Amino acid sequence: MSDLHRDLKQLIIDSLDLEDITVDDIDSDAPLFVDGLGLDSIDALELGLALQKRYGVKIEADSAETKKHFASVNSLAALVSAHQAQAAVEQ
Amino acid sequence: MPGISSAEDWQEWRQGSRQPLAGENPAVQEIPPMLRRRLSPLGKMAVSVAWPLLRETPSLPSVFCSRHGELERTAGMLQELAAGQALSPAHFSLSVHNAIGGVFSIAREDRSAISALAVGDEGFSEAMLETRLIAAEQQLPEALCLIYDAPPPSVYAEFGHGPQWPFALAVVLGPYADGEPGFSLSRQPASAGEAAGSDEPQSLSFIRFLLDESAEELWLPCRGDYWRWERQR
Repeated sequence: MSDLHRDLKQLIIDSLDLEDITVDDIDSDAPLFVDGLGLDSIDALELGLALQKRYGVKIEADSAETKKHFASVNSLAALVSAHQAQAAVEQ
Repeated sequence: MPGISSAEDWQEWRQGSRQPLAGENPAVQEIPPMLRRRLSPLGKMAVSVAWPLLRETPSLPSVFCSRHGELERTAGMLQELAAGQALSPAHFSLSVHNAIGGVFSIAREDRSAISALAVGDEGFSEAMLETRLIAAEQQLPEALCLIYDAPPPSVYAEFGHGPQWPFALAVVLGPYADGEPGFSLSRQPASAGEAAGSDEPQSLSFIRFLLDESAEELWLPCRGDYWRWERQR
């Protein structure tokens, strides 16, 4: 597991109050919403806010892209990596 | 109250040999973790007192009463707003006065009506009365009255409103049958009695009254008048 994957899992646990879950319980490939981890729509909003605060990633509430990004920890990691690469180029 | 949950604990509390303990929060293991995380410590306390009463009751209308409700969340959000920060959607959705009732009903899978009342301390008897009236209106024998409150966040300390400790009281109220043991409630004018002034929340005075089998009546002040609870034997 990369540092980014680990950080994202910890961010999910902390921002969504997942009391009984550890980083090792979250499968990077498994769905975050409904199936898999079982998060709901309030969690989606909360996670969007947490990603914005931590990584500066702005997330559109209603786009199909967002749904893709929120599919799993892997897809979130790809989103954050792309954002960080973009930010590095702009600097 | 924190650290006071069993019948023995409450008797010891009444006799003055047990005090609430800060940080003693109920675990509410009955509720699945994904739902339980939505409950504040006050919400957990409220649910933990009501849950055992309704274990055998699949559906029951309920009245959730609190003076301040989830004020801890609201105050936290106001502070975030003041600091120019984005608000937490989860805190926002769970700060409403019926939030605890909502989580409770989802956990119980009970679609019965829920009323959420903002009741000042002197409204204790009226909250109980409201519960009886809702049961009567729905032509049901019983309804749940759940009363809970916590000390307001420290920013409100100067106003001095609120209990010293978090507490929750759940009562399933059935009809009173003449000649049976139970309690009756009547409104009394200010001139009829004088209750000693007390800082104690009326819910706790009522628990004292319940626990003291020798007590015949309890007078609770309400906006200048009284509600009188009488034990029927």
